[in-house]
Order: sequence, then C-alpha cells, then structure tokens
Amino acid sequence: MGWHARVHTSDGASERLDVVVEIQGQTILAKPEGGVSKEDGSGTHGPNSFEYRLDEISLEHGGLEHDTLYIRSPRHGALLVIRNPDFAEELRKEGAVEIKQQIQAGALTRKKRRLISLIGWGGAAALFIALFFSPLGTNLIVSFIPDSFDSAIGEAVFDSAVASMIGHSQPLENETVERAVAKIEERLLEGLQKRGEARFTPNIRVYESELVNAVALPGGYIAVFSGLLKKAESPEEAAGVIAHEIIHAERRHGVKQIVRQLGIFLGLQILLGDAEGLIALLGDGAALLARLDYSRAMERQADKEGALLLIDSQIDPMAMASFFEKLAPPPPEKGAKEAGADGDANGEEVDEAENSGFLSWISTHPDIEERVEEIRKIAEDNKGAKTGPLPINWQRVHRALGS
Amino acid sequence: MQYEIIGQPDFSSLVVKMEPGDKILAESGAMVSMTPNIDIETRARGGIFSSLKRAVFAGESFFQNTFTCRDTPGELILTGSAEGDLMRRKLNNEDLILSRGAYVCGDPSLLIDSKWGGFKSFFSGEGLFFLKVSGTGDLFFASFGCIEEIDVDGEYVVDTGHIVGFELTLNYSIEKVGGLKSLFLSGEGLVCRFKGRGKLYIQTRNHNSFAWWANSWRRVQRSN
Repeated sequence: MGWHARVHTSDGASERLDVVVEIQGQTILAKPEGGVSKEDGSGTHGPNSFEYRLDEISLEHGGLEHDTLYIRSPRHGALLVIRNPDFAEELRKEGAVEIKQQIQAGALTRKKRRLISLIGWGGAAALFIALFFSPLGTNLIVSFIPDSFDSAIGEAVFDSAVASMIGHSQPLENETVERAVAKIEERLLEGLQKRGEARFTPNIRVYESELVNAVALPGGYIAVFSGLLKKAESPEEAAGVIAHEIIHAERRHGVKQIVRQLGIFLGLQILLGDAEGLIALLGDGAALLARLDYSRAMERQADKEGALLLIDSQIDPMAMASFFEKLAPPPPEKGAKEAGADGDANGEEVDEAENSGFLSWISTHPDIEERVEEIRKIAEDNKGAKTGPLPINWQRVHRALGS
Repeated sequence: MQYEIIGQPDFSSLVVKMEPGDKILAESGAMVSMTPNIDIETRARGGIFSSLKRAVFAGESFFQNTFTCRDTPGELILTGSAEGDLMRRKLNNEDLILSRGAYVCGDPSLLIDSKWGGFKSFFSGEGLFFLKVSGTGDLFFASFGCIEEIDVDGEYVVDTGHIVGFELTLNYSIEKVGGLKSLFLSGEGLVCRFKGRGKLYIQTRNHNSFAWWANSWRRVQRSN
C-alpha cells in the first residue's frame, strides 16, 4: 500500500523526486519511483529512500485546497510533499497525539473553508439573482438612479438609435405635421399632469420613413415615423400609439432594461473574470440602448396606462384599439414574425422594414388581439369619461405627408 | 509519439510526430496542419454539462477534438491562441491548475475540469473558475509571452495577470502591494502571494495590460 508523493531535496533548487510513500511502524518511508528523475530526465541516482520518523517530524498544512501535507525531518533537508486524504488518515491513526491534533486541525480548516466558500458562492448567487433578474430588484436599483440619467442617456443616443432604424436622423420639417404632433403632445401632457405624473416632458420628433412605428427612449424622447402617421386614420389613433410610448418613458422601462442587461453581462463578467470587457461595456451603454427590447409585461403596462392616459387627455381610448386592429397581421403568410423581437427600438428593424415596412410596429408588439381586448375593457370601465376629437385637420396632415 | 515545439518563444507551435494508433486531445481551433492520415473526432468531452462548465467558466472550447493517427506515421501541428510560448509538462498522477484559456492539448486520458477558485480568484482577474488538469500524461499549455517555470519554496509574489498555472501543492492569497497609494498609482494593483512548495508557471506578458495598451487605437463610434 503506497501513496504517490514528491520529495524536494534541499541541495539543488529544482530537484524533485516522485516517490511512493508507505508507513512502516513508526516511520514514513518515501522511495523514489523508478529511480531518480530530474526534470530533464538526466538525473543521477540519489539515496534509496527518505525516512521520516513519526516522533521527530514536523507537519504543516498547505496547498490550494488545504489538503497538502509538508513533512520535514530534522535528520535531513528533504521535504516530503503529499496530497492524499487517505494518507493523512493513516498518519492520524499511527501518529502521536501531536500529529493527530495537527491533522484534525487541518481537516477542520478544510471543512471550514469549504463551508465559507459554499456560503459565499450561494449568497452571491442569490443576491445576484435577486438584484438583477427579479423585477423587484431591477425596480429597486432603478429607484436609486436619478431621473436626470434617463434624460441624459435618451438625449445622447436618440439620433443614433433613430439612425439605426431608418438610416438617417433628420427630423421631418413640415409645419402642418409639426403643429399636429405638437397638439397631440400638448393634450397628452395635460393628461399626464392631471394624473399627477409627467416625470419627463415628452419630446416628440417625426421622421420620414415608411416604417409604421414609434420609438420611446428614456427621458421622454419619442420618435414617430411618418409611416405611422399615414397609417393612422385619425389624430386620435396616432395619439394612442404616442401615449403608449410616453408610458414606456414615464415608467422608465428603458433604464430598467439597461439595468437588467447589464446585470446579465456583469454576472458573466464576474464568472469569466474579464474586467476589461466590463469597463468597455459600460462605456458602450449607448450601443446597448440602441438594441433595447421591452419585456412583455412592460408592453402591457404601456398599453394599459396609455389607455388611461388617453382618457385623462379626453381622447377616446378606443382609437388606440382600432389602430392596433389595423396593424393586426393579415392571415398568416410565410414566416410569421417571431415573438422574441418584442421591442420598440430594435436594431434589426431595418431588415424587417425591407420585407414588410408597415408591419414594423406590430412585429415588436405581439399578441395584438389580446391587447386590443384589454384596451376595450378599459374603455368599457371608463365609459362615462368625457372625450372629444382632437382639433386637428388630419386630411391636411396626410396631404402634407404626401399620401 | 514525439513532440517538438517550434517558433519559441513568440509564435510557438507544437509539432506532434504520431505513430499509428496515437491519440491526442486538443482545444477546437488548435489545429494548424496535419498529414491526411490523421482522423479528427469532435466531441463535447465529459458530457454537455461538463463541457458547458468548462467553456463558460474556464474559457476553454465547448468541443474538443481528438486526433488519431491511422495506419501510417503522421504529423500534426497544433498551436495556442495568443502569441506566446508553449510548455510541455508531464503529469504523473498530479493535479495542475491552469488559468483561463491556457490549455492547448494533451493526453486523452487527462481529466480536465473547471474548479471553483473562490472569490479571491475573481479579484486576481482570473475569473471565479480555474481549469484543473489531473491524471498521468503529457500536457501542453500556452501563454501570452514567454513561460517561466519557478520552483516556489516558501513564498513568492506574482502580478495577478502573469499567472499561467501552478501545482495544487501551492496556495495563494491576493494582496495589494504597498499601501493604497501604490494600489492605484504603482500600476501594480493586486498581486498573488504563493505559499508552499511546488511549481509555478508565469508568463512574461499580461493580456490585460496589452488590451489597455491596444485600446488606445481602437476605433470608436461616436454616439451622434
């Protein structure tokens, strides 16, 4: 019965011998394995074996897992290094009281370390999951981020986010359209204020594009594409989508998604230990935002509260529902849109626009029927609310847009 | 099987002269060239979970290739990913810890596993997991820069970014050099203090320092 071990002789700095260790009575015997083997294989023959008498040796624990025994003898300078729990157990049985105590202490340290690392690992994992993956944790983190962060980041990435979708970021310059949108904005802002909200003042810009879509970035920066205005049959329908987008900004959905995504990256970085990447990533927050997806729950919230906002702005919420219906996909053709692309500002939008421009908004907002139903319910519940048409000549707007 | 390491230390590659029946296991992407009588078999070794663990945690490839020499002698050239040295280490029923991505190839009988290195390893910049290679056989690992072998007896201090691997008979702790001032200003930051008796492999260049240095030439997209 023997155990593999190594003996470091003290004469040469790098003389290491692979040995087989045995306990014979009160002596540990370390015999070289197949003679002496220096690293280069050109070793000469050394002593036949090393002896460590149990009543003389000094014992030391070490190694990465605290499972290595370093055994020294006062008779010679050769250090015996062995990693084997069976050997330690055997030694504990044979050895004197002192050795027993030392080995037991080593085992205890090992257990303690394992427990500490288990607690640390489990605790960190739990904290990490709680912080970044639960909506509660995300909301908690976001509540510590000042509103000015939303505005700053929204402003910083607005142009590039728009450009990533439609290839340019030049707002449409047309007085009729601008005035119409300003009117919608004004009414919705009144509604927001009536609801005691308006964390951010909406900043709506119209862009020339066939995309039937609108995008909300943090801080109330909202891009509306002319395709959407053309598709809308009334200013109320357009207001419905804009109200939806305003809620995204108001509820800070963008920043929440950033925190969530950063959390995932942060977790990977911790595991992978690449701190450089993390730093670069933080610098590239803008790029992250440009391909932001909103979660389904966020879309629902934007629908629901958007409809309520319409009511408080004295706009018929059914306009929102009727516009959504207009966007409902035609009977399934080839390759229905995958449900995963659930976002407003999605970098892949450009490709999708090439296939079916007018489906853009709908492709990022699935389950349309269910959502229309939700809005209907809200409209029913608020039947008594006073609503009226927006004072906008929508035909003129359409003419100005060239449709 | 005979080995020769060429192009040392900057652009080293491993030339393996294989006899019929010889096998060697390598990281995917490690193959440079080979004679046509060598078969490649690609597999996620140790099962999906173990491979995933290795790939995600320890920076190794998910799939690994086993090269087998058929009926006549063949030649195979393998290499690491960064420019740097290659080192051969014959394991004799031992364990060796390698830092992320250092493993290149080795005897198929060697057991390769990721090992939880504790939070101190995260602060060392090595990630939370190491690669643990155990068993008996030849192992080849790569570095960024040159590899130096150090026989630690007692204590030894290494910059955290310069560790390639070490034997399990060594323990280490993470420390800062000097006071707080030198932590931020000396450019040394954190160091590993190794304790015990065993071999330690260090590399003469540091990925992180290189990344910082190269970063100044990176093209940056303006946000507006």
